[in-house]
Amino acid sequence: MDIKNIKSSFPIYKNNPDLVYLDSGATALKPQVVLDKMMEYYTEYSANIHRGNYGLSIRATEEYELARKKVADFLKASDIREISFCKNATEGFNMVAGIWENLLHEGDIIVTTVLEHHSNFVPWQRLASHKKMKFEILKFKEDESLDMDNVDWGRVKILALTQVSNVTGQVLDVQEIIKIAKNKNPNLIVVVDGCQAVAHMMVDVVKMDCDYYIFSGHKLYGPTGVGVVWSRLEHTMVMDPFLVGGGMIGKVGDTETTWAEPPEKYEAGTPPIAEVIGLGSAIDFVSGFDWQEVESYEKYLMEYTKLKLGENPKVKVFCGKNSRSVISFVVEGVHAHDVGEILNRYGVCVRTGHHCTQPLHRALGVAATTRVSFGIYNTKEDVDKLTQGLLEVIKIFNL
Amino acid sequence: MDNLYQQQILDHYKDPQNFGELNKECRCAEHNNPSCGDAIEMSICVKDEKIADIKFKGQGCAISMASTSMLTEKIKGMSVSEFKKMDYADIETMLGIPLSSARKRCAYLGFEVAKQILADYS
Repeated sequence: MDIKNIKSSFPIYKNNPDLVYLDSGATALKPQVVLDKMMEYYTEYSANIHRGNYGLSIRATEEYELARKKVADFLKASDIREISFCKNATEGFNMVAGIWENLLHEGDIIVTTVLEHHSNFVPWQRLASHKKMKFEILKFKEDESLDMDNVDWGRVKILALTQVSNVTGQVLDVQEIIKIAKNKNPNLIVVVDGCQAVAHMMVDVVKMDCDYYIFSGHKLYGPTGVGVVWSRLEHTMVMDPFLVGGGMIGKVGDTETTWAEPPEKYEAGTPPIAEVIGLGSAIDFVSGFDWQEVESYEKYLMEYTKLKLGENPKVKVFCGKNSRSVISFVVEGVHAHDVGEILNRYGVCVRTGHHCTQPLHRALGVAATTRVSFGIYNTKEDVDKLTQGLLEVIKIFNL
Repeated sequence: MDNLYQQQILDHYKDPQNFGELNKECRCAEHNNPSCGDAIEMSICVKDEKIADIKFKGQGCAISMASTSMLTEKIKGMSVSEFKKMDYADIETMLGIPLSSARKRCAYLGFEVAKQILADYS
């Protein structure tokens, strides 16, 4: 992989030459092509979509729908009606929870895992509470496989799980987990959080056999303000919409309204047009990479990071065996917040806190961790700067 | 010497004053910063309109712990009315270090808990 070339594709590095950005798990940096594509919309054809009969609007609609097709192809989805856009993954999870609410009953079970980001945890917890359902949080075994025993799978209606942990970087074998779960109960619905996966591996929603796959565009080198919900066609054709209003209707009578066909049914109001088009461009950018090359480069970077962090006896690492894009750690005797403050002096950007995973941090027995997460632009030299910063932490706190 | 992590801050962080089990006979309160995991619990007893007993426990960054430790030293024995005249600027003066907007919340945490406990006292 031509990393030097890759870094030069991201204009933020020209403006911040000393930047050591290790927080792509929070949001990825943006390549110039994505910014140019969004600016092109705003300067050349910034009309609304699906509404006008004039050239600008037609072009905007075509570009928007082309981006939808790109997302469908990116996820290996078989039908573009399965892709709808929202604001971000959090909104997507809330939307799915909202859509299913009326079909769930007291005594049913919602299952999630201890690794989940709050966005794929809190909506289900709230739904379970509203509907007097059982809310179960699965843990992991010593070998890092999901402990699927001791669950009354026959009563499970929803299984919500992440593909990659945003704290430990653990990559779940989602396909296998879904196979096991659906063998036990073919009717359960599986909602997968792809936020930390999409920038790092090929995703095939058909092979995965999930029912919903959700991610945020800004974690795939796209702009903020756009999220993707892939829903299996059998659901989109029959399920009610979540938000209602403009653009998603068929016929609006005085007393009742019919809905548009999917995907418009799930896109009420003016969508984030520029952002969707920008996401399409981000997918073009990422499609230029060889996933196997990406995987092997990330593995190399992760091994190097583990090696450097391991040199410090005061550093305790939280990382899955198969992690390659995310790793978190604590420095004994120093709060993560202080670690982050001092690393910032070296231009090193990391996230500190609980990374929207309070249940996971309770399970790990720590109040806060420092997280390193990679993007396509990171290098061994970035990790060296991180190490240098950590030595300064140790020195200041006299550990 | 480090601008932020000055010796006084590090000393209070490593050996916080008035730290330990809360006095259950006193009024207690707690606050936390959900974004970073700082959490402080405090107990304050008022006698003859003065802060007679003050204890805190919790976990947090060096700034939140040091600030709370320094605050408890400062206000122990202080009259409630004098405490109520204190504001965030006093906390920053007490710490004597430059605080970014991100770290101000850490610095104010103990003060917020104390304010909550003493809110009902006139």
